[in-house]
Amino acid sequence: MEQELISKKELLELTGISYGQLYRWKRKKLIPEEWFIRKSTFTGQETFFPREKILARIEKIKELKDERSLDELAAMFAPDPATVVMTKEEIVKRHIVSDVVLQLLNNQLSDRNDVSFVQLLSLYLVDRLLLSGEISMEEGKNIWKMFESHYPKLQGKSCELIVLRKMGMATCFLAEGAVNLYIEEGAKLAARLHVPACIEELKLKLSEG
Amino acid sequence: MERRDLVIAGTGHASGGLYSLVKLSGNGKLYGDLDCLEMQVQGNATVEGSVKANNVHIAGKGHVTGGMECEWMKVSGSVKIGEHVQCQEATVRGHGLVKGSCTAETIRVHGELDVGGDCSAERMEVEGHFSVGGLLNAGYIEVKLFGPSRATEIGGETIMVKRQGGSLFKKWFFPAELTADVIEGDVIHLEHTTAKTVRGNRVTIGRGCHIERVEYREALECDEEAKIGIIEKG
Repeated sequence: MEQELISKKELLELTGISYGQLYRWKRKKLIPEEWFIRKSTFTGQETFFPREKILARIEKIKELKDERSLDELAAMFAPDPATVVMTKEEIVKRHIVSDVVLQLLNNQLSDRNDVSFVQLLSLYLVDRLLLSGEISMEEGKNIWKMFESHYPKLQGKSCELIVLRKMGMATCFLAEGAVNLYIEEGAKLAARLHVPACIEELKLKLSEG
Repeated sequence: MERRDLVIAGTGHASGGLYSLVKLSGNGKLYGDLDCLEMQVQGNATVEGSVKANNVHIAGKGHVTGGMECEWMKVSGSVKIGEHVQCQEATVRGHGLVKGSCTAETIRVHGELDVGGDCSAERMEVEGHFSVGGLLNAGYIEVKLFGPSRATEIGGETIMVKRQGGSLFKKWFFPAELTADVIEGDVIHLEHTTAKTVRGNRVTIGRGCHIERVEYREALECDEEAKIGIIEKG
């Protein structure tokens, strides 16, 4: 996928932030190193960014920077799963996922009470898909199982969760990085979620308390 | 685990490990990674491995083949570090060589600092000269140039580069000049700097500068003797 790039200069003009702020955020690791893409242009080496990602990130930083310290924000944007362990009660209390999914969770871990970040993340993803009506309950269970068993192997790398459906049969998989998908005729891309973006949303939800 | 002190006075060697105070006076060598609360070197010390400590004080010569992670580092003399450095406050009086990258809250250099990779700090003060292989990124950068300095890219909020006096010999053979590809910041004041591109909000280009391209937003001040190629207001 050829991602659309934005030059540093254009970025600053669009968002109204200064060089100093950009460099400060880079130092604080609010903007990941790999988003700084160096390319040669006629004026020498220039830095470019993946357009959509950086614009969304800067919007979010601007929106939250008055309420939170930069270090807190950095922890939120870090792609590695936070070492969060929550209890079932907390998940209920904070309305992180809907009741239906919670019911599923109850069946799954009948005796255990604490929920790890990966479990919580998979719950959250399934919940999102269910709420948007893209998948059925039964498919949700499969996605959940698949995600929980495979996601830890990715060790915090960027990945996408993809659900395909053909003739009513659904299959799901995780793809590392950004990939191009070419799908056979008759099959339908039911859902596609960018996992790091979901992690951010989830962490935001968690930190709101 | 209990932490014990390690003292080498004279010539000696020991293994790395967990210590409270590590004091090397004379000629000391440690084999393996070192984790201690305080490290004091007076003389000549080599650590074959990495160092993790609260305080590191090197008076003389220190060589760490691995990386260094500490709260507070003070060097009077010279230090050579094979990998990355991370610390809160670093003061180098003399010569510092870091082959990897360097991250700190405050970096103070009186003398010379060479960083192979990127160098980032909230505050960086240099009185002397420096070289950074990658990006020098700091909130406040103040350089008093005493010798040839270079960085591939410099970015930050305030960037001040000024030249200090020096002997005629030094001026002739080791001109106190800064060379960089790109310098970007909110407030920039440059003297005796050669750069391809300078971008900033408020930019001052002083004596002895050769800048191919200057982009500014609010204000630009140029010295008569400065050589500037293209000026663009953005």
